[in-house]
Amino acid sequence: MRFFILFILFICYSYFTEAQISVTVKDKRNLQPIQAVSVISLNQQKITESDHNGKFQIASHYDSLFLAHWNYQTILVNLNHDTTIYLISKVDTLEMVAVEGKILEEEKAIQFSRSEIVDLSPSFLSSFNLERNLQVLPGVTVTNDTQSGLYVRGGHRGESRILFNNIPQYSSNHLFGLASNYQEDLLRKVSFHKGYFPSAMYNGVTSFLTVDVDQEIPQKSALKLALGTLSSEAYAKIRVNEKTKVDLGYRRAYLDWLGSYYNAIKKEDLIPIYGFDDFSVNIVRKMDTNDKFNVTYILSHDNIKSSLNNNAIKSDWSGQTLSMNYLKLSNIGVWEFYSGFNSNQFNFIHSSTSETDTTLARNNLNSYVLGIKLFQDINPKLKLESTIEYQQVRGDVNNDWISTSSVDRTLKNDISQIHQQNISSHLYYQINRFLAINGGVNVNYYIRQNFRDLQLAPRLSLNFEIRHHSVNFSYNRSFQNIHYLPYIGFDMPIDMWEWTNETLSPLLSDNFQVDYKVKILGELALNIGLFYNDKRNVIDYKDGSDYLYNPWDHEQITQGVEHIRGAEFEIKSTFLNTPIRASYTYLESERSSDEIHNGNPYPNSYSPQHQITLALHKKINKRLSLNCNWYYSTGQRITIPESFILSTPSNEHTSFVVPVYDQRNNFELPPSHRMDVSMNYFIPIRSNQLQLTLSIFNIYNNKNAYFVSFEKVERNDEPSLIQGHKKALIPFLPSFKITYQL
Amino acid sequence: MKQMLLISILLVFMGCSYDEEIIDIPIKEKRFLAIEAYLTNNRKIEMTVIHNILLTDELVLKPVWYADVNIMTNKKDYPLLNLPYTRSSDQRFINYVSAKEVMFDKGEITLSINYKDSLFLTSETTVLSPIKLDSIYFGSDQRVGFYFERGEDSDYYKTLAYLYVRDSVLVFSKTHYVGKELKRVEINEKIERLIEADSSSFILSKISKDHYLYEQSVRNAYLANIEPTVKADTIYSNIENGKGIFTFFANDTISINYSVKDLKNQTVTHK
Repeated sequence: MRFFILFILFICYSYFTEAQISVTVKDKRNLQPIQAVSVISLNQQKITESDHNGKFQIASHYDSLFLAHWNYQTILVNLNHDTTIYLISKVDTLEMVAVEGKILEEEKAIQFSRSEIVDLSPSFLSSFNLERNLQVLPGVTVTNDTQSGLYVRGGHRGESRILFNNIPQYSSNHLFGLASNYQEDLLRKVSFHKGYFPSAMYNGVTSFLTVDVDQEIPQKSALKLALGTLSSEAYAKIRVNEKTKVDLGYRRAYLDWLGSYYNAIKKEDLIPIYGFDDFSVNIVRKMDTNDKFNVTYILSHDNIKSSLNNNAIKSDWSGQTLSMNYLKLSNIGVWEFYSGFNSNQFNFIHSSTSETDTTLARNNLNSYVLGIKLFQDINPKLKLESTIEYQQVRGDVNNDWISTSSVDRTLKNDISQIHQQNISSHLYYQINRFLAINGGVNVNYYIRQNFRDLQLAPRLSLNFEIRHHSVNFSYNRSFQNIHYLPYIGFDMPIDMWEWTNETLSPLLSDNFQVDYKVKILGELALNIGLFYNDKRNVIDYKDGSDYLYNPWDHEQITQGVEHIRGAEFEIKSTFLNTPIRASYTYLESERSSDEIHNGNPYPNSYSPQHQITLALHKKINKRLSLNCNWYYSTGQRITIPESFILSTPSNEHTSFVVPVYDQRNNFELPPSHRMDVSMNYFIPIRSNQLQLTLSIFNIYNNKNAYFVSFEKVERNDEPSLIQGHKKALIPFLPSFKITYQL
Repeated sequence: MKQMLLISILLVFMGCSYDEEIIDIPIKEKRFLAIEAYLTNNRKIEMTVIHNILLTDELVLKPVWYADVNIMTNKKDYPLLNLPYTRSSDQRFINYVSAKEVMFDKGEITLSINYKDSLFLTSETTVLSPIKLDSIYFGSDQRVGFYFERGEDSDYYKTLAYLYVRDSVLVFSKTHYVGKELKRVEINEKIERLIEADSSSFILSKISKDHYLYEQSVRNAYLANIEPTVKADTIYSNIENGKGIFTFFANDTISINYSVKDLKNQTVTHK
């Protein structure tokens, strides 16, 4: 009830702050706002100009506007209910055409420029985290406060794929989702595809997040220095000449220094020593107006050491991504040649001072990609995107349990070479002014030693559009050859992965969705969507399996089906220069396998049934802005015991009250909710700018449960009882950041 | 200003978070019988047959009364008496016992339980050959080596150390899978507080695979309740229509009636 009142309050706030209509002018290529666009209102007979945010005010929803800027093509638009107008650059023919192709590819995606994605959510501990920022969108689930990665529409994070300049990234986060493994300044734009994907996208079944790096040659070199609670960073954009630029970035977290200092004072290892750092370089070279070359490299490290409770843990992760892109305009279209790699090395050592056993894990996962894309405008109504890609995967899993008392147990999985030869084609056809159709097919030939598999993924989408209403029906088949097996409900370093082989079939998903979009009351956009995902070959461990040290065979692992149904609602409004987003997501997941719990269905642990998010970004004045997001979610599903037994092991004296677990994910934790807030204050210093950022995570300190333990409660003169106690993790957490932009 | 006021109201209103620690668990009635029976030669057959404890129950032992419990081999049947007591040697609660000590021959042993003519439980286990603990080696850093010949009928073993420290008894136990490669096996254990012991006993048990899996799963389930990073998994059971373990095991013991402090880098053999 309380949240319903809040929701009403929020909506009232949106409506009672009525004012003039704000329209934004953006560059169609990079989605950046354009300043100083001359705007002539033909109805009102007025002339105005866009401000530094690309915004200008008009009095009516219905107006004809004439927009002119020296760098952009002049256009005349009938405004209707649009609040954003896109202009096309005059000077960059190559990008204009390429972007047209890209725009087609991203037609059904949710797109954000760098500033939009940064402003979408308050930062967690003042560090940029792309996936965390997207949690405000419908369908992106917030399973718990420490979640890392992207959980979309009831799918595990391993079912969502990040394509960094076309190169798949198999790990893109630091531990517990503290930060992305690159700085925000490296980005130009991100596009989020859920449910339906262009045919070129494969090896992911729930969503794709494409990340494009900043390829703009700056007017002058710039340097950003930032000092934050968690980390400090420097990012330089160096203009070498009018055709070349080099970006260099470095960020380092200093929790390890703080932890070491604290432990030294206390003369005891009380807190873990954790640190991470990221380095990136981004080079762009424009050959002429028809050619452009770009190389980006990212290097990231994570390091944690802990010796709490007699358990010594040492773990590190090293990730590298290299992408090389070459864009070339020719008579038949725009060619994009790309290649690169993503490599991940992970090491984990655990030993206990009270036991002789040591657990070691050394995992490598490397993928190498080479591809060509062609975007073609065949005629004004028909466009085609074709892709040929080759991907090779190499890696190994080495898990050892070294014991001086028992036989050493080892799991070795040598993924010496996996080859994926992929070809796809996607057509976009505007049948008439109301109806558009697009679709295609992805064909993947998968080879792993003697195992071969031909995988076909057709896609089809129909779009009806009448005035302010649009309805879209889509069907999408997708497959995935990398399988993730989470150990427990939340992310752990020992979560396992494997690639399709003779005994492990590829994960398949048939996604159906219907979307309805409408613009009402001028400033209010409403999106409603229904979806159904039918997945096959979803892996899970069998009851009692010990898969950490055993091969992934049918003794340990089984593959079953999963059905996910859901609905999404989203309201977007921009009253009084205050963009507001409200979303609701309904999810139902049902998984089953003949070999688990007698084939009875059970839900997965990352599909909260109800989720509500509210987000506002308010520019209070020229210097001060506020970001405020509120999340409410049905609790995460965990497995709790259904009863207890008393057990005394053989030859021993002590009896244990042992919990008996039966059905998986049989308990829903109490609902979790929290509010995150951040404030930015800008201080101009000559031509430079100082920015002060205060971020507060979980501002009202709600204790969101992530676990329940059952404890014995003693009573006077009566038998004891067992009670469930919830455990919470992240409290109210403020952080601060000072950024100086030269 | 008006907007800031509204935002402040929102913040204050939502700041009323309950600090609840205890949470209600929905009641799901699912009663079953839990069995623990570790059979060995030259001892009476002793079994614990109890009801499980639901989340809403009081935490007390719930023995099963008046069940017909029978142990069968291919030579003889052993009907068990419903006689509850606490075994003095290890404080184990027993409620079904054979009339006499039993010596099993090689072969299968079958358990059958008929409870109120409505619930029938069965299980089966194999008699294991005797095991001999040849020697104990006391290394540095409180390490103890158990030396023995691996039997052909099981790859699973359990080691126990009973340390008698002043008036208390400390027990260290561990289950092991020793593989099939070696005939002669050395299990090396670090036993905390070994040098404090006034006297000690070292027991080697040859156990069945069911026994090993059951004790491992009990340990994991116990940990999963207190440690969120441990996977909550079902308890392994070899009892049809119930839960628990019905198994045979073989023991051998080396006892040392004095402090092991002076036995560093020395071997004690079986007498």
